[in-house]
Amino acid sequence: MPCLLKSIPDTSDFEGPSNQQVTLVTRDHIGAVLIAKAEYAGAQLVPAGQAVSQLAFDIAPGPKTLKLVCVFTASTSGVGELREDAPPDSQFLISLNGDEPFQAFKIIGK
Amino acid sequence: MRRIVALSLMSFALLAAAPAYAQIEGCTFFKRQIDVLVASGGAVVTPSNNDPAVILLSPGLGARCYAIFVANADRANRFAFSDFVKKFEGSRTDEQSGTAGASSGTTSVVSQGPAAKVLSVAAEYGAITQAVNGQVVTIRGNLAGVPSALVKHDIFPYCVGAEARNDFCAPGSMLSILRRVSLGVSFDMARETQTTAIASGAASAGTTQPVTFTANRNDISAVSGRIELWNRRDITSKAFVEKWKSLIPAAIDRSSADLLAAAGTFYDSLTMEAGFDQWRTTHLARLRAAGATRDRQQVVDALTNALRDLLTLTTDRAAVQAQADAAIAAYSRFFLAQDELLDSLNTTVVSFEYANNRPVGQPVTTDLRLIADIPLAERTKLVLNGAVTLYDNPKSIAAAGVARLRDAQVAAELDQSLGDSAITGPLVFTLAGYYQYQHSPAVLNVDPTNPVPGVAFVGLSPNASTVFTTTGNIALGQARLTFTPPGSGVKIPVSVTFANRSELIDKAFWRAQVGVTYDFDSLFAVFK
Repeated sequence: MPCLLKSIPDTSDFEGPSNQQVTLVTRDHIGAVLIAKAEYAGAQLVPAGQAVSQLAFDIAPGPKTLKLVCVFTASTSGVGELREDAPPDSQFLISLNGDEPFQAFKIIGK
Repeated sequence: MRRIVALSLMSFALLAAAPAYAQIEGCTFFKRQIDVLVASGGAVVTPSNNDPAVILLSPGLGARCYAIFVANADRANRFAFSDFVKKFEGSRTDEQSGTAGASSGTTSVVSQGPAAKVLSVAAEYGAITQAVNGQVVTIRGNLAGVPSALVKHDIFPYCVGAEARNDFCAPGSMLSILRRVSLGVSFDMARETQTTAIASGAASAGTTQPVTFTANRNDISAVSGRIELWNRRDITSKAFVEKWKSLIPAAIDRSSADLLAAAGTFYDSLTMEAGFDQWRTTHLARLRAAGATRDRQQVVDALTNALRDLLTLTTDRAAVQAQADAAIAAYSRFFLAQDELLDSLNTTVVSFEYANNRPVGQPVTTDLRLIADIPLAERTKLVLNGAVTLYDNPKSIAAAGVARLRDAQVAAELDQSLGDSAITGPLVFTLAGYYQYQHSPAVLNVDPTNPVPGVAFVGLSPNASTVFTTTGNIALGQARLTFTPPGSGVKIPVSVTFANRSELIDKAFWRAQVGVTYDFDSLFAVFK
C-alpha cells in the first residue's frame, strides 16, 4: 500500500485523502524516542498513561494540526524521525530532536 | 547551618550566568538548520519537509527557539539575575508579611530565624525532604534540589546543551552532576529544652501554640554526605528502554501535557495570524537567496529579519509574548522531568558516603563507606558495602585499648523479586550478610545521676563513667520478605536475623521482626 501523505511545496505541512487511515511511527537514531502526547483535530491519540512509537488515525477533512510531544532516552541529545508507515512502503515526514520535543504541522484532508 | 546555606548558594553559583541570546544561532534548532542551509547553498530541496529554509520558517518544528526569540524580543536580558530575584521573592510564601512575632497585631506567633527560613523555603519548593522520627528531625536533599525546584517553579529556565553558554539558566548536564551529591543533617530535639514564649496578646489559655523548629548547632546528632562516584546507563539496552517506557507515564505525563498545551497555543497563535502564509512565502525567497551566498552571516541576518517581521504580524503582541513565556516554562519543566527520570534509571552505581555521628552517651564517630549497587538480572540486585568507623577523638575516651579505628565492616545483600500477586503485590526476597571486625571497644558514657533511658547495668561500680565491651568479630545473617500490598504505598518487611553477638552484648541471639513503612506521598497524592 502506498503512503498517503504528500509534502505541500514550500511548507512543512502535508496533504492526504480524507477519511483514510494513516499510520505514523517513530524511528530511533540516537537513543530511543517515543510519543508521550499527540493531538490531531482536537482528539488525543495517545492513550492515557502510555507512551507509544506508533499512531494511527483517520485524516480529517480540511486543514487540521497534528501536535506531538516526544520523549528521548538521550534527553536533549536524542535524535529520531517520524515516518509514515504503509508496508511495504514507508516515508520520512519530520526529524525528531531532543532539543525540540514539541512538533506541530498541518495535515490537509482533501 | 551556615554550611547548608553555603551549599545552597554554591549550587546557584554553579549555574551559568551570561547575557541572553544575542544571536539567534544560540538556539540549537536555528543553528542546526542554518548549518544545513549554508552547506546546501540555498538550493530548493524536494520534498519540502527536507528543505532547511522551509524548516527554519516552520514554527511548529522549532517552537522552542521561536518562543525564546519572541520572549526575548523586547527584553535585552530576559533571564537576568534581577528578574530571577523578583520572581523568587514574588513566589515565596514564607516571608513574614506581618510585624515581628512579639509585636501586637501580628499574624505570626514565632519569628523565623534566617536558618529556618532557608530550610522552610527549600522544603516548600521540594528541594529537600524533612523526616521526623521521634524527636529527631532529618533533613535530606541533593545539590540539584534547589536549582531543580527553581526550574519547576518557572523561576529559572532549563537550558539545552551548548545553549548553557548563552543564557542565565540551569544546564541539564550540571543538574545531573549536582544530583549525584546528597547531604543529610539530623537534629535531635531531645537535647534541647525548648521554651516557647507566648507572644503578647497572641495566644490565650486553651489555644494551640504553634512552634517553629529553629535548628541549633548543638542539636545536630548526625551529618552525612554521599557522592555517586560512578554510574552506568545503557540507553540502548532493551531492559533500560522497557523500564524507561514503563515509568514515562508517572514521571512525564503532566509535564508533557503541559508542554503540548503551552507550546501548542503559542504555535496556533503564530500560524493563525492573517499574514502568516504571505510572511512564509516572502521570507522563504529571501532566506534561500541568503543561503545561495553561502555566507553564514547573511543567512543569520535574513532569519533574524524574518522573525522580527513575524512579530509585527501579531495582533496582540503582549498575549503572544505571554504565551512564549508559558511555553518556555513548560519546556523547562519537561526537560527537568525527563532528566530526573533518566537519572533515576542509572543501573550500576558506586557511591561514597561520609557520616559524622554524635549519638547521646557515646563518643563522636565518623563512618566512611563505599557502596556498590549492581543489578545482576532484571529481577535480581546485589548491594555491597565496605566501611570503617573511626573515633574522632580516641584520646578523650577513658577506656583501655581504644584506637582511632573503631571497627571495619563488610556487608552484602541480594534482592530477588518474586513477582506480583493479587493479594501481596510485589514480593521481594532478600538475603543479607554482615561482618564487623571490632578493633576498638564500643564505648558508652554513663552518668549515675542521669542514666541512659531503657538501659540497666548490673554490678557496675557506682563511680563508673564509661562502659565498654570486648573487641572481636561480629557476624550477622538475615533473611527478609517484603510485601507491598497493591495500591497502598505500604511496605511490610518480615525478617529473621541471627548474630553471634552485638556491639554491647557478647551473646548470640535470634530475632524475628515485622515492620511497616508508609510512603506518605502516595497518601497525599489522593488529595491532589
